Amino acid sequence: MSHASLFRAASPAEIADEVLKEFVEAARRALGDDLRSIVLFGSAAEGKLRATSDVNVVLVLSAFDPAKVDPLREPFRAARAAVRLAPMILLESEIPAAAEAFAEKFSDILRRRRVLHGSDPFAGVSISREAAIGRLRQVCLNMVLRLREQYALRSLREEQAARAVADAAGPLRSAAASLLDLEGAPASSPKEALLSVVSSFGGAGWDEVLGRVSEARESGVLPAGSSAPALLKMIEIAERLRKRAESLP
Amino acid sequence: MNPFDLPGPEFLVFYLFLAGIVIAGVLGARCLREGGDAPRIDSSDPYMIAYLRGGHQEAARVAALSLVDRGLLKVKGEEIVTADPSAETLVRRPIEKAVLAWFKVPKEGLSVGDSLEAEAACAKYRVELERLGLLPDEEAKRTRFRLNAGAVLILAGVALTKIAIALARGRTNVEFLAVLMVASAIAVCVVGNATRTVRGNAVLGHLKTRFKWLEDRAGSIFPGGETNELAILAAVYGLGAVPAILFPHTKMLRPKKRTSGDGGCGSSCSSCSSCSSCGGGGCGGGCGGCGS
Repeated sequence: MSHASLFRAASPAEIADEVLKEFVEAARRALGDDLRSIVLFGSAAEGKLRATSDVNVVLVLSAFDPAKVDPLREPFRAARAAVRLAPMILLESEIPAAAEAFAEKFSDILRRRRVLHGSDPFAGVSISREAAIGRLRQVCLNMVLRLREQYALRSLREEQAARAVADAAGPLRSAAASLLDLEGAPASSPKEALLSVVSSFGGAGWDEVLGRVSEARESGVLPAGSSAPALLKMIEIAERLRKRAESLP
Repeated sequence: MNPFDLPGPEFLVFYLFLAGIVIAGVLGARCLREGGDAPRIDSSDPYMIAYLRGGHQEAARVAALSLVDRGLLKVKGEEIVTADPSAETLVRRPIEKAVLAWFKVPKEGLSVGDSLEAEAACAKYRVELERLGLLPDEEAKRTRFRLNAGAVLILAGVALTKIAIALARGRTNVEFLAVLMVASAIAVCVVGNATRTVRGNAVLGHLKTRFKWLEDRAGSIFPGGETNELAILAAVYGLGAVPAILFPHTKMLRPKKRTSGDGGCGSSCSSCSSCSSCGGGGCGGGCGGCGS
C-alpha cells in the first residue's frame, strides 16, 4: 500500500481499514496455509467505529505454530497501537466449544461480522439457547459487579467516570441485543436493542442517559457533574437486564 | 528597465521579491528531486520513526523512555540507572542494549543523546532511511549543496553588484541591503538543508495520520510496557506528546527548549504535518544548519 491513500484517510473507519489491510496482508504472509479466516466483528464490522472503540478480529487457524505466529508479533503490536486492534486467535476445531463457552461474544460475532480473509468460519455456527441464556445471565451479573466497582473506584474523577461509561456501553448494548434475540424480538443493531430495552423500563430521564452514553463513546468526556449519575444509571440498566435474563424461559 | 538603477528603497523591495523567487525555486527543486511516492516504512519499529524525526539522539531518548516504562531502567533521584545488571539480556534491539549500557552508571536522562554506542546502533536506521529516500544521502547532500550555492551566488551577486554601484556613486547607506543579503542566504541554507527529504516529511505526516487515535488516547495508555504504544507515541509525535502525569520520567528526557537558529532538533521539531505537500520542504528547516 502506498502511503498516499492513508494520508487522505483521516476518519477512524478509514484509518482502521488501512491498518487492517496491512495487518491481514502481514497475517497471510506469516501464517500461510494455517490461516483459514480473518473476521472483523463488533462496531468496526458495522462501520460505526469511533476513536474510543477497539477493533475486534478473530483469526481462525488450523494450528497454532509459534514459528509462524512470531513474525506477526510486531505488526500486531503496531496495529494495536494504531487502532486498538484486539485479536482473538482461535483454532477451527475450537469454534463450537468457544461459541458455547462465550455465547454472548459469539452472539455478537454472528450478528455483526465481516470476513476479511478466507471463508466465513461462523456461517454454520449456532449457539444453543441454554448456553446463550446461561452466558447472558453470567455476563449481566458480571457487568453489575464491575460497574459497581468502577463507580466506587473512578466516579470521584469526572474524566475517569466518563471513560467507564464509554467502556461499559458496548457490553451493555451487546447484552441488550442478546436479550431481545432470546425474547424473540431481535433489534436491528445493539444500539437499537439497548434503546428498546431501556424504553420498556418506563419513567423519565432514560433518553438523557443514552445520550450521555453516546457522548462518552464519541468524545470520551462528559459535562461536569454528569459522569457519576450516568454511571449509576448504567448500573441500574445492567441490573434490570440481569433480571430480565433471569426470567427467560 | 535596469533594476540596478532603482533607488534604494525600491531596490530593496525588488531584492526581497527576487529572494522570494530564489527561495521558492530552491524549495521547488527539492520537491522535484526529493518528492515522489512515499514508500512504506516499518511502523512497528518506534526507534526508526524517532530517528527519522529527530536523529539518533531522539531515538536514544525514546528508547530510554520505553525502558524506564518497562522497568529495565529506574529513576534514582535526578538520574537514571539500569535496574538490573542482566537487563541487557532481556531486550532485542541494539539501541535498547546501547541505552541500557549507557545507564549502567547513574546519569542524567538527557545525556543518553551523547551515547556513541546508541549512535552506532542507529546506523542501520540511517542507511535504511537514506535508501528509501527519506533522509538525504551523500548524493542528495551534494545536489543540495550545488543548488544552495547557486542560489546564494545569485542573491549575493545581485546584492554586491548593487552595493558596488552605490559605493561608486558615492552612496554609503548599503547596510540594509547587506543585512538582507545575509538573511536571504541564511534562508536559502535553511530551506535547502532540511534534515529530512520532502518524501521523509510526507512519510512522517502519514505516520501522524496513522497514529492519530493513539495521540487522542495518550492519556489512557497504561504504564508498564505491555504494549509499544508509549514508544510509538513518543517516536511519532515527540516526547512532548507523552502525558507526564502518567509517565513522570518523560520530563527527564525532554530536551530543553532552545532558542531559534541554533540548529537544534529535539522533540520540538516533531510538528510537521504540513509537510506532505510539495511545500513540505519548509519543515525541519531549522534542524539542518547550513552545512552540506
